[in-house]
Amino acid sequence: MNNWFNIKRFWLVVQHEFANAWIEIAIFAAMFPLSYIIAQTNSLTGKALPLLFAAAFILYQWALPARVFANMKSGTQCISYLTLPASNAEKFYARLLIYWLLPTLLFLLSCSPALTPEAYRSHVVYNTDLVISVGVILMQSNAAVLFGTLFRRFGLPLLLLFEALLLVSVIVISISARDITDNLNFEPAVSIVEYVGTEVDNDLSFARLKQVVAAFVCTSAVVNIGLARILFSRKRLRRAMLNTNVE
Amino acid sequence: MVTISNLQFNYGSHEVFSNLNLTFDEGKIYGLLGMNGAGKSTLLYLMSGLLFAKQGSVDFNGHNMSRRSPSALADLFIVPEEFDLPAMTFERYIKLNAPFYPNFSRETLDRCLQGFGMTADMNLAHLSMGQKKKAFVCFALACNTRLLLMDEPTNGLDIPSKSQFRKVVAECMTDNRTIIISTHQVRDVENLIDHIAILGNQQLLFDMSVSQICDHLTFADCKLGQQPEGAIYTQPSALGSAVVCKRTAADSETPLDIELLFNAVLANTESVKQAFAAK
Repeated sequence: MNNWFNIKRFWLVVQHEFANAWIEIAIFAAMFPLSYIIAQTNSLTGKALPLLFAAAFILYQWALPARVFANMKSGTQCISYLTLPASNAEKFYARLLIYWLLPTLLFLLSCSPALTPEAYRSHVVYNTDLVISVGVILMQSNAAVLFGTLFRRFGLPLLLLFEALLLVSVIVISISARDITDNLNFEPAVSIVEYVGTEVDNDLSFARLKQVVAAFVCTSAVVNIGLARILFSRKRLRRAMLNTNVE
Repeated sequence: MVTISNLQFNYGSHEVFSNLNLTFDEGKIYGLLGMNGAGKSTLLYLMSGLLFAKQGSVDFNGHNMSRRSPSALADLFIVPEEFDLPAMTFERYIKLNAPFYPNFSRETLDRCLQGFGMTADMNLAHLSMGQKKKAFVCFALACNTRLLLMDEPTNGLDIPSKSQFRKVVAECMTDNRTIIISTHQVRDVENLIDHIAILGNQQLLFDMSVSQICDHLTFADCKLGQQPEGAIYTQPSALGSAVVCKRTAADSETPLDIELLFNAVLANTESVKQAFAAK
């Protein structure tokens, strides 16, 4: 028997974990159409789009991934999870699939109104450099998974605290660095608006959209697998993650 | 089957086990006894890989349990004292969990459920704690794992269910299986267990089979003032006093009184051990 990773066993773990998590996922998934409807009542361009994007981001890139191990509140829940006959890697990747990949797909789906060619110039993502946007979102979702893994039910509050501190630090640094940067002649990175062109071309836009999705999903998947590998190779972190003290 | 070697385990500065050595053989039902805080549950958690020993090892059929490998976990099932069952039908629970256990038997499950007067078409969310425990014990037995660990399995069961518990466990016992029952409710497992291990003072105080115990000790109630000579342990009882004595060739075998034996071991471990040293 392969004690590290077995596809059949992994699929059983995914089914097992999803059966326990589907209500939570469904609640989160149901929350977005509400904000979508609110956004639709205004306009999908202008101020509604950044709000739509922010709501989707908070829900699916922060809140849900940070809940990756939130259900392991008590020793009893840990016992049933840890004694399930599957490897630690299978259990962790199954959680990653449900609490990171699925929310990422929900996030992309939720942002779909903002991914129309008409919305390109008004959307916050497309007014920024593509690589930076994907990188920031990727970093944030990974940070949420990491906080959720290490701190379990306290993952989200601690993540929010961390993000608030990070934001304050960035603001302070940017204010103090403004004078310096003003004197430097930076060439801005090529934005999507320029990359796509000013003319709206549906075929080209769709191709770019596919690139965004592919870049996001593939890079994040690779980074998350790397993250999981690093975590599992660190004994102390592994103990913290797997909650070995069930008393 | 299970070999515990030089086990040392602490909760912070509190030492639970110090150089504990113990072996559990297959084909036996073990009663794991001890005072509160003696480490019965901790030992079960160490055996199932939920806790890691500070020193020493727990070996189950060649698997180091701290690695928690899927092949070892597929052959082990733990019924904790308290557990959570998801809010779903029992049929769905079986469908999701049974594939992890290669020896799972639906026939055994149905037979055990029938013994408790239950069926699989129930919703776990609507069950009382005792009913959940019965359903979980049935599932645990039906998994047919070679090692079954049960922590206080009769807590929360009603009186008829306790006797039914003994019956279903005895029916599911096989020669290549080991069942370890940690309990304070010794009356609930009387006539079921065939080996007793008593933990205390971070050590294994007593480890004998029921047949060995009955060969070397006698348990009797005596009227006041009629205590036999050479009693190892005496405690007050309704009739006068309950006594544990070393069995001599002239003594006939007496039924095992686990509660009395437990008290005797805790009060006078060395004298009890000496009774087994030479008959």
